[in-house]
Amino acid sequence: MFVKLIDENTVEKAPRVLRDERYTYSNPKAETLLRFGYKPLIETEYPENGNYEMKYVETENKVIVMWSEIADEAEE
Amino acid sequence: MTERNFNVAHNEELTPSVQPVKTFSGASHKTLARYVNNTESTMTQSLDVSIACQRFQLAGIIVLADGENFSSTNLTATAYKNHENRKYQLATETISLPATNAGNMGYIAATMSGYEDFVDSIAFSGTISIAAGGSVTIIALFKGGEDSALATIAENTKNSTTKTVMITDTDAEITLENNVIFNCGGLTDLEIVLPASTTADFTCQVNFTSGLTETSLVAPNTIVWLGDDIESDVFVPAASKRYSVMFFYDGVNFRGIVQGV
Repeated sequence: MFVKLIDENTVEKAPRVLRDERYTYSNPKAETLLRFGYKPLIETEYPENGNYEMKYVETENKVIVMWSEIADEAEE
Repeated sequence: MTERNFNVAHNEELTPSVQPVKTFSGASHKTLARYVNNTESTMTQSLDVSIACQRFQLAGIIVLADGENFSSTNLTATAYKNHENRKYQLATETISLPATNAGNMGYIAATMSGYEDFVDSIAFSGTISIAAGGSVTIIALFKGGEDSALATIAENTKNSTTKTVMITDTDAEITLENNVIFNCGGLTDLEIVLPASTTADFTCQVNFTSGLTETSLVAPNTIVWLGDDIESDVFVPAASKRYSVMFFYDGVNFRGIVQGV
């Protein structure tokens, strides 16, 4: 799946049709998606112990699902 | 010229004899079908088709090959006549294409010269192999037209813009051409390019298969799409479908009419 990062909590899934000034791209290929700013989404497994919330992190060539541990309220 | 797509084997239903009998004057020959191999490898085409001739007084069939390195296997032409909803065989002949060619070969005029009957259909069977860059045209020769200069036929055939083009690559860039049928197999990628110039009667057909992974399609924004699998005014091929897209020019826009099965 290719996505575009909106913020750390939100990504936009690549549509089935892309357009530029001259062409339409139906079922666009990976290289087309990259050119339009979409990147492959790398999903990671939920860690085994503790409570985590999902965040999206963008690198140069991908968007990665990261898990941030939620602080225990009792400890605060 | 009657256009027939030989890339899909089919047998046409014969229509009953039509009265009065037609006589042909003026026209000496009629191109029944043409194959052009625009690929870089030899293509083998199986023929299993019957063509209605509308009671033409047939003198023979010419198989005109242009290029090099042809071959055929059991290539046979058989002429039939209809009478009271039954089909009668008039003549049949096996046609052999030589290894190299520069003219006509194989005709059934000799077999049929004694017949005064009118032909309702011609059936072809067998296979032909065409090397890269070659073409084969099947021409019906009518009574009174036997003396037509074969060079004239060959020249007219070479200049004909009507053809069927076979594409075997899975990644195809097709520039639309008037009166051309592009027959593709499974395509992973298809790009449609509009011609530099066009006429009011422009038509072009592109047939292809979208496989388990949908075909990626690139097309000019200006094409107006109608028919199956249109999303937001754009043709989006679905998976596991065979598509036939007819392009035509309406005087202002190129239109693509999509039918998928």
